[in-house]
Amino acid sequence: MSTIESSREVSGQVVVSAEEGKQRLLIEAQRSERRHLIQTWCIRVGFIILWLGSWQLFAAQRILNPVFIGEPSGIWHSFTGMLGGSVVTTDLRVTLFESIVGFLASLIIGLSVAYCFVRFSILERAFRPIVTAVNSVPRIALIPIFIIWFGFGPMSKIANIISFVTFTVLLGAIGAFTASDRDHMLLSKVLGFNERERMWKFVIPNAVPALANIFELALIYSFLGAITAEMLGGAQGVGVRLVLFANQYQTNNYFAVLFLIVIVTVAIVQGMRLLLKRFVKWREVEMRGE
Amino acid sequence: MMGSKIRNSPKDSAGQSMVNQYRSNEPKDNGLVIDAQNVGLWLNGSEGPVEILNSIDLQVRNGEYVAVVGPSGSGKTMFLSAVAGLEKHTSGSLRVFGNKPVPEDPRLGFAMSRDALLPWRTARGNVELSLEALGVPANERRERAEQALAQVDLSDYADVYRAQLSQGMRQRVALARTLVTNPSLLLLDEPFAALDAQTRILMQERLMKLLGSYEGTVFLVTHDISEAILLCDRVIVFSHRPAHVAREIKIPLPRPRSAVHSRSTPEFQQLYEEIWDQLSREFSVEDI
Ligand SMILES: Nc1ncnc2c1ncn2[C@@H]1O[C@H](COP(=O)(O)OP(=O)(O)O)[C@@H](O)[C@H]1O
Ligand SMILES: [Mg+2]
Repeated sequence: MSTIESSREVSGQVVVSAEEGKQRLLIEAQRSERRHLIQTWCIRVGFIILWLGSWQLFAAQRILNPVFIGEPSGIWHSFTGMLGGSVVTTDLRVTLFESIVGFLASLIIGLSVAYCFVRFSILERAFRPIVTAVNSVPRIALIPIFIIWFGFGPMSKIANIISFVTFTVLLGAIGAFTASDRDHMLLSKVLGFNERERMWKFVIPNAVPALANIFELALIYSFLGAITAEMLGGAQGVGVRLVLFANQYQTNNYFAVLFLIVIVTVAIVQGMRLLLKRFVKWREVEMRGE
Repeated sequence: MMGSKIRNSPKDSAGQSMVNQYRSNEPKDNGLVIDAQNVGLWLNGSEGPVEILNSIDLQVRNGEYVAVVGPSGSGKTMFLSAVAGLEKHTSGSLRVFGNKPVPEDPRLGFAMSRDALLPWRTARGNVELSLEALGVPANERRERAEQALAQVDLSDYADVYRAQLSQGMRQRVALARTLVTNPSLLLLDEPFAALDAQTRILMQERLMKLLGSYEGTVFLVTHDISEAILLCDRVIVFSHRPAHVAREIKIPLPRPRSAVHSRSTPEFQQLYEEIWDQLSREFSVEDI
């Protein structure tokens, strides 16, 4: 801190050199950032302790019946017991398989159809009312039909995911593909690019950050679709387990499975963010402005 | 520099095969780069057809610098778009290099007032975009983009994204993007309108310097009378919409001109007033 010492005191006032002023500003910024980080974590951890603590207390004191609400220590015990057991090795694996296959299929179908709709606007105009109509079918009502068609195995679960995640991707992607800057569109014409090049050089790069958000949503919906279908009728999968545990009043096991699902979903979403980071970096630069 | 390659030795210049393709079917090259005869243009507006251009008659010879001024909304951009092949005129005859204008023509270079830089590309990537349109191979693209950035003094900013550039720098990247293909007809639509007054003067100075080694033709649309006088040999005044050519004024000022000092000469002042007089007659009550 030699720069700080170099400040002089002139007639009772501290005179700060330019270099020192810069130093102080930097130190102040670092301090305030650290302070914010500490505060954030204090609030976060405090909330969780309060939440789990009162839950544990209510259950232990029998203020609320632990058969109905479970208790955190018991959930943790169930959870660690499950790791390595058949819930993870069979059911979670099956659910993951269904979710990821359904997610990828929805992505491919949704993006291809959106691409065609944007590239050939006549198709969009022709199909838009049909898309809206099909999308307003309550999809959960189709699950029994899918089970009749495809049986109790993974196929009916994948069909259920595709039946609604495709629309999430399709409608989101159409929005992302049509959000191009007018000046960019003019530029693509000025430079003489054809329609295909316009899509790949202008429209799609511009849509990537919005698409990344849509993918995230689609992935979470895919898990939702798999588990819903499993709960309504399946041979294996975490949804099947959930129904089983609920029927037997095994609340701790039930919550432990939910906890497992949350952890796996968050991990996959984070992985996807990491994968797409390279393509959305420019957007961050643009938002920050420097 | 720019332009020279295409006209004199088409070898090793941008999209060579395309140049030849456009040259081979030139019916008559009477030295006119732009030849507009009674060009009329109607558009389908929300309340039926609108007449934008009434009858534009103007010729631009090879190597000439011509400016168009006119009231805003008179149809200047529309005419420039027609010259660039982006809009179709509905009557009369419009020939560019003796042919029907098409946007893919590699001899055209178009600059707009908004930079339209792609935020997901670096400065170099944005400059390379024009070369991609001509099918220039990647390593040559990179090299030429860097040369073009050096011309506008932005060598150090090649890897920087749009958000990190000032407005003036963005406009310079856009200028490099236009010049990198060595166009022989530069179409400039209010190229500096988005800049503050001081940056604009600096950019005009810079453009004049760059044009010192340019052998092509310049067709400039601007609302800035000084800019028109400074940069061009001839100023064409468009009437209010639907536009016709209200007047042509020759600019006999000697070159090189200076964006700062030429303004204060009496000759400059006189030309300014002459153009302003004509222009003010074209303003309608709604404009004010
Ligand atoms: N799609 C359109 N339909 C109807 N009028 C239009 C359309 N596009 C532009 N115009 C009108 O055409 C006129 C000429 O526009 P423009 O060439 O941009 O003028 P400027 O001389 O300012 O560049 C303007 O008055 C504008 O309102
Ligand atoms: Mg205009």
